[in-house]
Amino acid sequence: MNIHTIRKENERMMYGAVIIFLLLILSSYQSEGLPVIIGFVLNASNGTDANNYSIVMWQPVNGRSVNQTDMIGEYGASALGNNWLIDCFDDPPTNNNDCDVDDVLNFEIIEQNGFTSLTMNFTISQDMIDMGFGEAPNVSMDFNFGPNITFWNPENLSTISGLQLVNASVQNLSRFNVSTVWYSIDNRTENHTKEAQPGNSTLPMHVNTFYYNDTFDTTLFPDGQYLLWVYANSSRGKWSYNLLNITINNTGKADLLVNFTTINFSDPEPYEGENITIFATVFNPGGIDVPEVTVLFYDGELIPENLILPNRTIGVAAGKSNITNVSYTPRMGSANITVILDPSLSDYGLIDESNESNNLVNTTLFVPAYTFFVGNLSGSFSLGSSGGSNLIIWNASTISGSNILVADSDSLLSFTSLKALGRDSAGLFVENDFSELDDLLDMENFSDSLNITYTAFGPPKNMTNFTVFSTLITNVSYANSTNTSGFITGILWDTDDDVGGDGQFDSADQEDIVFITRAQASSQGAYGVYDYEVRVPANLRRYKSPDTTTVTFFIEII
Amino acid sequence: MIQKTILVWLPVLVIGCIFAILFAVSQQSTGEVNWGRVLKGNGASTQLFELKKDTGESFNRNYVRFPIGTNLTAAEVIANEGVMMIRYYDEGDGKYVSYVALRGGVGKNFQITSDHVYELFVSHDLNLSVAVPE
Repeated sequence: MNIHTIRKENERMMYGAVIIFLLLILSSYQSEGLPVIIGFVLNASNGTDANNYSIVMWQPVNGRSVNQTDMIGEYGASALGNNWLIDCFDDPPTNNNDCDVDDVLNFEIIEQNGFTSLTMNFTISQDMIDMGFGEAPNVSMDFNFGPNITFWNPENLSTISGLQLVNASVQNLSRFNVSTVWYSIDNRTENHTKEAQPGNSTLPMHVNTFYYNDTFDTTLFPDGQYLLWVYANSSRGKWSYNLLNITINNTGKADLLVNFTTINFSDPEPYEGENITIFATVFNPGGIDVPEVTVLFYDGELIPENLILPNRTIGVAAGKSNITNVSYTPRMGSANITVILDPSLSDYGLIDESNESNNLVNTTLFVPAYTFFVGNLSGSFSLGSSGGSNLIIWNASTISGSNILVADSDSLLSFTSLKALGRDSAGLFVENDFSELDDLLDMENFSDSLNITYTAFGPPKNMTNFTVFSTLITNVSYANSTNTSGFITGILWDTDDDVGGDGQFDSADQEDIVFITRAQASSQGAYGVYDYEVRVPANLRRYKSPDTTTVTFFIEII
Repeated sequence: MIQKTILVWLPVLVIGCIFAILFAVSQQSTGEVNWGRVLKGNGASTQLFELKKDTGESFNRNYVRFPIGTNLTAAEVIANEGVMMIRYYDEGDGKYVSYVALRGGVGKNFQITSDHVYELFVSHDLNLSVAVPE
């Protein structure tokens, strides 16, 4: 290379350097011509106003997290109905997110109340830079519906086996694409699995209805009942589903089944001694009919003494169900009712089933320890002579504040000697009164025993005063008569029965017990509007003999 | 050889920088605040602002300071034929406030004061005449 050549090379480099400087300067100045972007939003097709929703705008190259927003309408930067305005200058300069020529910008309506829009885009042009503003494409506000899914195969409540075609139509209800469709199997424990090749399917744009087909290998699952779900997801994240009840049976055996949802009581909240009926629905999702199956009902431990007789025998066809029932008289407290199909369980019974583990179910029936009495006080009372002439007439027009007392019909009450349970005859606190009364009423093991209902592990939960026969009774423990606070029930004991002379209620003397409430005219209770509501232990009628069937009400006239 | 290369490159860098500075100065000159020319006659005086359209080839920015006491709104400014947008930088919000001659006026209409420098965008070169208050 000679000197002349080197000089020429250097000259070319010099011109090149100058041109690079100039381009650098030009490009830096172009970035200052950032435009205002103005757009128009069409209201939703159902008439929902787009104003006050918000637009978000971002450059895809920077990601959606670097964005600018504006409220649509007069309260936004545009100050004009259905318009929006975003100035690219507004973005913090430090983000280097300025709008330059050829930059692509995305924008959409921020989803609110289910309304959003397609994601639109446009490119910054030199003309926008020169004019200082540019117009974005119009955008429509749309509701982001999840796709509608209709099953075609298999049928609901069908029994399937082997390779099963799953076929559903997926209808797109919005302007947003349906992005994926898949199915899953649920074994009724909310344990979804996709082991059987979920088969995601991506749907093309602007397809209104799409038929989704996939193949489900049922042999991957043991025989039994399942839920088959098909889900579909819109491109805007709104998903929906449809589901079927199916039975997988690859063994060709019967499958007798009961579960707790199919055990029903004629009265789910019975009172003690009420005659009710227990219904059991038996399913056979298996592959063959069962002409006869024995159904046993137990009350409590599974021993012969606890059988609720008679035993039942029914037939259940393949894929069908049948209902059987027994009569039952519940006791106070909780009863554990068990239903067993095709006993005995130890040797899987007489019928060969594909699933022998679903032949037993138990459920709990709760009979409250209390009977709740509600009603109105009305009419007039008269003290008359044998000749029919009224001597005194009391009109029950003013009933609020009247005391209503309930006692075992065998009790002989001394109304002026009543004291609060939990207090001795001198008015001092006695802790064990409630547990002693629980023992006498056989309520000690109940979750709603007197001790639990009225005390906080010793001290009374609530206390009030009653005036009975003009005698003030203080510190009377009380509980709400029901789950409302309109009426209360307190407990009293009759000190006149304290034969032992210890000055307190005790199981040895078994002093008379009185449950007391105060009438409140036309007040709201748990069962409606009435004048009184009182809770009485169901066993109060057995508190003293000989009568074990009745309690007696006393109304104190004020 | 190294010395020769430095001797050749040094003038290149110096000349390049001079070009760059000259270019920058020439561009900045179009961005200076336009105070307008005051015209008097017929008992009234006006201030005339020569506004240039910004094109890709010629870079023109119209920064205008209106006369003290001007009683105009942005809507009235863009009502002049050829004025497409007016905006100013609100230091308090750290944002530009713009008013665009589109769809009857897009943006929040604002009062023109002499406290701000406004940037005007025009669709073609034009003279904007503003009355000078007494």
